[in-house]
Amino acid sequence: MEKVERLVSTVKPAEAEALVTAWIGSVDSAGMEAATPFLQRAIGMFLPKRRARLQSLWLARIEKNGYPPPRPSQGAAPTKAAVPVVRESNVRDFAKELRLRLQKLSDQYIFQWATRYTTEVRECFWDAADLCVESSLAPAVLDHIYREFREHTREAFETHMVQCREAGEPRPTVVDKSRRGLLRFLQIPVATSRERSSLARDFVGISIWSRLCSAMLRGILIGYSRVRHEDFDASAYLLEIAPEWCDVLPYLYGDDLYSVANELPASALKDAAVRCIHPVATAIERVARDGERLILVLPGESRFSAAVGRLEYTIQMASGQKVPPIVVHYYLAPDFADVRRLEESAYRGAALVIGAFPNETQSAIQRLSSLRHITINTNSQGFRDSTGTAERATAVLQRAALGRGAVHQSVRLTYNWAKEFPLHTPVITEEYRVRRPTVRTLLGNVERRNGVHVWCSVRRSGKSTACFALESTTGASIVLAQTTAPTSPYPGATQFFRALDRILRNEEPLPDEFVNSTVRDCIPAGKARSKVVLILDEYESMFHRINAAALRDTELRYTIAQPLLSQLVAFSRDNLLIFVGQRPDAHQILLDQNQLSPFVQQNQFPLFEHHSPDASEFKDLLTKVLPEPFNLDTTFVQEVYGETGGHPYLTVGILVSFVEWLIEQQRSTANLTLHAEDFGTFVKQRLSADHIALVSELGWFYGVIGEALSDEGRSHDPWLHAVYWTMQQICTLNPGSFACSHSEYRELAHSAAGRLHVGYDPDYVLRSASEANFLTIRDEMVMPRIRLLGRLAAVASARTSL
Amino acid sequence: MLQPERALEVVTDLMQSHPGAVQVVWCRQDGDRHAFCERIVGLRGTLPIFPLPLRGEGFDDPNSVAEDVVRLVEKHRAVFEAFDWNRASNAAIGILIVSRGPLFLPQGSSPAAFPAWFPRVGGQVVPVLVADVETVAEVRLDAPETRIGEIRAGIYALESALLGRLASTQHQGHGFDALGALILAGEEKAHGVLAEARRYLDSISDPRGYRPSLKLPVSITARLLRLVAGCTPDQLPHRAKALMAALSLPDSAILRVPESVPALLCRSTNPIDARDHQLRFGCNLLQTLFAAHSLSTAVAHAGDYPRYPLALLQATSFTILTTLRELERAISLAAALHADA
Repeated sequence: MEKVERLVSTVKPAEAEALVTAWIGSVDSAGMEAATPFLQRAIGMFLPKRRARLQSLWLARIEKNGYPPPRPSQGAAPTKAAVPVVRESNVRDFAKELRLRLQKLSDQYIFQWATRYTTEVRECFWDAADLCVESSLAPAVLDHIYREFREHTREAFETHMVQCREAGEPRPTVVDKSRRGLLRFLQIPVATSRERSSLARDFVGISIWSRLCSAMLRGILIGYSRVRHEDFDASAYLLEIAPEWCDVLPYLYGDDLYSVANELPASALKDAAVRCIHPVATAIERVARDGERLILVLPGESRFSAAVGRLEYTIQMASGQKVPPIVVHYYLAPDFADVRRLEESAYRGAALVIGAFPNETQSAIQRLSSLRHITINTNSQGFRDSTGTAERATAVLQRAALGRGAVHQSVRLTYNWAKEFPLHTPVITEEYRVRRPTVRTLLGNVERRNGVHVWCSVRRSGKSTACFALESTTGASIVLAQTTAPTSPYPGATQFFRALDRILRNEEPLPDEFVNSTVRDCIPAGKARSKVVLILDEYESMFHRINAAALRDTELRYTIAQPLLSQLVAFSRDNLLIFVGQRPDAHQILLDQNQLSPFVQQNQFPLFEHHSPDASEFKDLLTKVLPEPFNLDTTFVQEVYGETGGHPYLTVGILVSFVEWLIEQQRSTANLTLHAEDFGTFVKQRLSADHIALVSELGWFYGVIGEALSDEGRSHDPWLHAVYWTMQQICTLNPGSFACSHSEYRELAHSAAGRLHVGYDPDYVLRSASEANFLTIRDEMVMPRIRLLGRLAAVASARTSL
Repeated sequence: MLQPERALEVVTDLMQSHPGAVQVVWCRQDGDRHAFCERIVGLRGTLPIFPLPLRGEGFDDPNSVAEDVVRLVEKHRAVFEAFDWNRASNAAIGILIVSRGPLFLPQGSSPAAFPAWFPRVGGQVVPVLVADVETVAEVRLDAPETRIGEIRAGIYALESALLGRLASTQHQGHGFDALGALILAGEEKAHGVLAEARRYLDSISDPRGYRPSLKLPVSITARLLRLVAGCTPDQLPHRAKALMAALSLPDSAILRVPESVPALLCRSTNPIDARDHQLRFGCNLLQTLFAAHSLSTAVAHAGDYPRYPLALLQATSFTILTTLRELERAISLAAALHADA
């Protein structure tokens, strides 16, 4: 113990860590209880990064020995005897290492945001946070971060632009790529900071993480504004694309925000940054510092709605009890006069509404009790300077925080936290995204081979999210995701299909090297590899278009359709082609001369797995939908999984409905530990055949099943019709078990009705539907893979048209 | 095909009865779609309902219906921006796709994100299913499409023709006995009943509100309806035969009135000779009259009955109304022919 203390105090943390690691390894189950207080004390002497590492090592050891673990904490508090010693020399070392890290990114991993950049930025956070514990050193650390990130950004973006130009890419494409890169880069510190801050339990911890994030964002934005390339005016361009990045502004503090605003040309945004966002940031910091029972989890969640010019910043609180978040609405446009929008803000629970409003709007605000006390008009007397605004904002926010502070047993749950999960945003933001090792494993299993594969799954299974997260460059191959959906939110994702669309519209003969050359064009400069893994999302539309063209004009069959099928086959000889969609057979067009279909193999696309009760993709998802202070018992997680089978959209939807039900049951906020019985009762009451159709969160799926069961469904998509019809029959005939034996399934498919609705070999339907997550076979029984979908299918009616 | 005023009412009703921020409705229009859209815009007031004419593109691939909706919205951005959102009501945003053809597609494509500029849900993925106004829009039985005033007037006109003919044949001593045995009570005399029925009918000031009461069977319609209500479909031909004997209409092509759909659905299981137009006419008359009266009564208590798809009500009323009118015309014409002969 003393040796550890000595090593820590003489700044030899690595040796001290090794010592404690060995100590932990040597403790057996008999000595556990005796060693615990000493080890906790020793671990508490370390700085956060090493402390967390040792803490998890110790917990793992305890678990292995079956010793009842102490109540998990976020790390033991540092003891007084072990105030960490950090010197200026450490800061210099940090700066040097940071420069080397960023240099390595520039040299070898430029623009690899999802992988290398994320890892490096995380490392940087950890190291810097350790140093910032010594508050006198924090300014120097933050300054180093800002400068290094600024220089790195400028250099990396300039280099990338030059590389792209040299590769022959047109100027607009190059600029657009830089825009996309900037947006991706900005998200990394935000996501990392949010992830870490949610674990912090004191103001100091929160403050460090959010200030580090702020310094990085400042560096990235200013670095980008100083990019020099040909006659590209980066500063003006930054302003032009501000609607896409201005949601990071609330994450910037004090000087960081001023300094970013100074880089921008005179504009409404610049004014709003200085007059609205900056004083509110100050106010939030004050409220956070003064908080006793309420800890603001900073940075919050930020979204910009370009249509109304409104920036919404939502701050959660780690209060020990779940309370509604504090929401700030910033109106960034000058002279914003739409009172209805402001009322909408109040209606949506904004604690503070701030903007520059004209006089007549101010009069309307004064008349409205819902707005009067929560609105700050920076055009009004007293709020034209940021000091007055910050004071008023502090008062407004303090009141909101206090209003959320008193939590007793008698306080009922009133707020539906599950609704905060961004189910309707086109792209799931980083902090809500679940990492999907299962999808990466699926890719890994096929990646070494060439050929054509199809990955199918029920609608809204998270296919697009998972597939676009796979984009990467590894070794000799590059994974490239494209989609046929024109409104895809993924930058550059429609390039392949747009090229094909042009040809189809103009009815031009397909160029000889169309597939190869278009795929080449889609690959970012400098990323070319000998092999491409091309993922085509929503692939059904591509084949529908080709087929429609061939049926419309026979000539197009020979000039476009068949050449394309042949080129896809040729492409797949040296590369890997993966179709992603809902149905497995959409490629079966022009069957008399289709060279492609015989090569297509279907793979099982994974829903969110739940193999282990402690850690699984599914549990991760549930934790994001129902975060603390909801406490999810393993039986609860298992019960929900049994119902939704790991389908993300249905899971979130049903949890929204479940929390709504908890609110109706007047559940106490002091009792938010959820067990299987809770969900079981909900299922009995709300998901029974006579209630399920009323659950609005399931309405879309209910309608979709009715569409598939309709006559039009049968003629347009016979496979889906057969699958849903089969599911409906199984669940209707077996209302208790939702399952039938394999032989009953075959009887069903061969019955008179079955022959009408299942126009396929029953074994094919069962196999393909299993691989697409509609049905499954377990213990020789056939059942819906997602029981909830089976419940819906059982009560759905085929839509009948006139 | 709906008139703009009615289309707006139906869509507004749909907005209120279905949850969700956006409702997409498919509306068929053969005529001038531009004028139709203009009219709706003129009528909608503060309701955020946007008629968008569809000109040929999209909506042919079940896998991209949602994308097609978004593309159409994007194309008509100006229409949304011209709307005064400051005064908009809180109802869901209604997108009315005005097309020449029907929507013959199963839906269930991946939902698409609305454009960022779109009000209220801009940039969000809103799962929507396009609802066909003709099948999804369900209306109360007393909706104007039921045309109940015309149906009641049709009952009135048919009864008037029946009375005229029965009075004439009874006066001439033609075979009223069989019918009389069925519809007259112990002491009642045919001429007295017919005269009273005529007086009652003449007392009706507005045929569009005519609803003969079965409880007080002063009208001849009420007596015939009681006849139908008390028998099975297989017993009906016997009673129809008695009616036709009393009417004593000449065999003529005029009697070949196609059966209404309700008459067809309640046909006897005993085959009727297809060439026996007298009997078919009688069955058709009794059953159509019964269906018309049932609909008329149900409309008077519309709140007690379900809502029905608009198109179904239109079609039901159409078959009843046209058959009532043809039956009335046939009796009048045949009687006139007989008189001439």
